[in-house]
Amino acid sequence: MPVDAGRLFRPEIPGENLTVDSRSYPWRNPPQYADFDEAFEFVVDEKLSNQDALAGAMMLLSQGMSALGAVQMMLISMVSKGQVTPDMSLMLAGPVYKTFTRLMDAANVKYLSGFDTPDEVRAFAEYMKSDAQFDTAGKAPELSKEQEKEMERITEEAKEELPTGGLMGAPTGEEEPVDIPVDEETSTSLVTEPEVEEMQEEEK
Amino acid sequence: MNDLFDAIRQAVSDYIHIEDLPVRKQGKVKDSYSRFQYDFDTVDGLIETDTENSEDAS
Repeated sequence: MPVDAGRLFRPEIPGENLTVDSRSYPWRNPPQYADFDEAFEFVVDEKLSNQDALAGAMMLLSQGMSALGAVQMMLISMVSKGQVTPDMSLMLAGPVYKTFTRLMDAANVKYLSGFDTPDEVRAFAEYMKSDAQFDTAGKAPELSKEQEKEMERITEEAKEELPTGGLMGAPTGEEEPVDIPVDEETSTSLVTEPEVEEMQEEEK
Repeated sequence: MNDLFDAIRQAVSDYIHIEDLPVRKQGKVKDSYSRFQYDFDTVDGLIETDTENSEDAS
């Protein structure tokens, strides 16, 4: 819902709330997803499978936002858009949190769960202060044997000698320069000057 | 909206720390999801991490 900047510092007139038509609020109307399974599938397909949104969430978590906070934000935004009811957001909260944290675990992201003890928060703060979070050495994703074979095959293909010769071949630096006749009016010239007689006929 | 924030926090806590709840409450939470396709076990199996796989193998 857009915030009216002009109204930020203007107090409400007593009784003003009674004059507002609250029927237009999205959460006062029937929700877009009334069924739990449909709503959960919507979250998984549209929110948790969205690469951009997930990358943004990963950045927020690595900067100290808790996973619980991210889930709360997501669900309340869905309620405010009228996609689910507040009751449905409570039903969704647990499964969405579990799936979301599993995804973050799979991506090797360190984060606060939202239910951390003070010691865990302190340890996370120290981790953030250190440069360990930017140290990506040794964190390369493990590839399966099939993936490794595919990688080797692609690398070998890339290392193969480039084709030389021909119009589309890579330049070797040993080619002899070719003179293209332009001005000479011969049978082999590619560009010829227009004849004087033709020019005069066109002018007439 | 603050109440909804707190309620979501409580709902998540009940879901992920279900073993810490009293037995009656555990049944209540599990029953509320059991009638849907995405019940406890299905959500558990959606994403399997490598650590879980290695634990299962051992």
